[in-house]
Amino acid sequence: MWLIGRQMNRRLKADPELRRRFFLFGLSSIALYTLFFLYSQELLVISSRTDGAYFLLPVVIVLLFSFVHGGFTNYFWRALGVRSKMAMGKR
Amino acid sequence: MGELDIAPHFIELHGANVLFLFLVGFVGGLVSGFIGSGGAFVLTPAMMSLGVSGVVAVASNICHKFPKAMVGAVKRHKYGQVDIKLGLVMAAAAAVGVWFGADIQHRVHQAYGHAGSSLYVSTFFVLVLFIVGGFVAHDVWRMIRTGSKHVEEERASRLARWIQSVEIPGTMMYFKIAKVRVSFLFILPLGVATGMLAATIAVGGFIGVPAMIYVLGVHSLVASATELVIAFVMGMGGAIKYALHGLVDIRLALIILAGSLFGIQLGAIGTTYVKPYIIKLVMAVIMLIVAVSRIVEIPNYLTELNILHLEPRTMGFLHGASFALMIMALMIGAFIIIGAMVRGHREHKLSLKAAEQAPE
Repeated sequence: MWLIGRQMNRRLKADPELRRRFFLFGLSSIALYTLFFLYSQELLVISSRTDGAYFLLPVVIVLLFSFVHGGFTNYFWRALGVRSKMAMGKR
Repeated sequence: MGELDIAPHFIELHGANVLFLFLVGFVGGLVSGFIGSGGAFVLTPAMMSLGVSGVVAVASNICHKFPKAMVGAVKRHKYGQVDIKLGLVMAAAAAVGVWFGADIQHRVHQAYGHAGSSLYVSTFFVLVLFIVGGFVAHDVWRMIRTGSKHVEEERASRLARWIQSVEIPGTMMYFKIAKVRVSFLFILPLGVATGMLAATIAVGGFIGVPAMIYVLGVHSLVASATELVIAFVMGMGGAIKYALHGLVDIRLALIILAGSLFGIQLGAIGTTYVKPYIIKLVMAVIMLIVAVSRIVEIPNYLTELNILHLEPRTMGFLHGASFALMIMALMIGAFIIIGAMVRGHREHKLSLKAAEQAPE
């Protein structure tokens, strides 16, 4: 774990753009999931309502989470050095 | 997550099942990113094993699936593996199947309740996974036996070659990335079947991917990547349909999404390092083990419907055995993917090193 953390730290230090995006998406993802855990009861009640346009709420919520958290997971693997064959070839 | 004042068809969540869903989501995402679908067939039973009814499990699964598929499709599009045109055509046909399948699901839940819904989903699982999984397993066995597993370019099946040869004026379509030219009339029923299955058990890909490979003659890598486009489009349609009935448990969807987005990125990266037959191997192995796991659970649902009479201890044993099998399917699938990926990565690094050391 320590070695992985060191490798990650080295890559983040070497690539400022990766570092900026990693922290931007990472912190946004943590913020969203913190809000979700704090208000999960209310969220469930509202998102399972069938009147009006409430049915769109689950769709909008998962899209928002996937954009933010999906961005973070992409930079997470990059920071770990797990990249596609094509990206490895370009290095 | 505290005491919830929620509708009876939603379960209460605690630390252990949140962690379980996150981990299952991760492996499910890994499988989906790799074979285009399949996370769902593990996730639906996983949720059901926590006491979630079949219909809520499918609804929540579909709701997490389409944004995950979108992330995976974007990633694999960057690798040149996605045929967007084929995906959209299949998805348009699948949309019809999704609405039809979701409607049947809703009616089953209304008529027979929790146990009936779970029995319906499990029966479908068993039928589809055994038939399609058996067929794919047979093909993998043939590839291993004939030594064609090392081949990068796959040869289209006899059926696919015949379908590609049929010329129906006014209906022919060419798919550039998939490199196939087929009549739209052949794609239509495949799409509808994919959609119906997706809405019923949330795993349309287990019709869609083999259909594209064996019926249309699409390369495994392209078929599995294109399936993500189909999963996105019809998943969104299915999610809206279930949300209209208030059946989506957003908590389940978001927890699974948290894990599966890590997995789908890794699975997509993995496809760039492996031979096509690995995709089929993973599909076949997981499908067949999960099918057995659902068979083991069916007597319990029959008992709940008063068709069978089992002792609570026997029911508990069957439930545990089914759960253990499902975990086994997950672990074996993940093991094959990560093993193949590590091997491919190592070989690629060695070839890069050799190229660097070679004289100009």
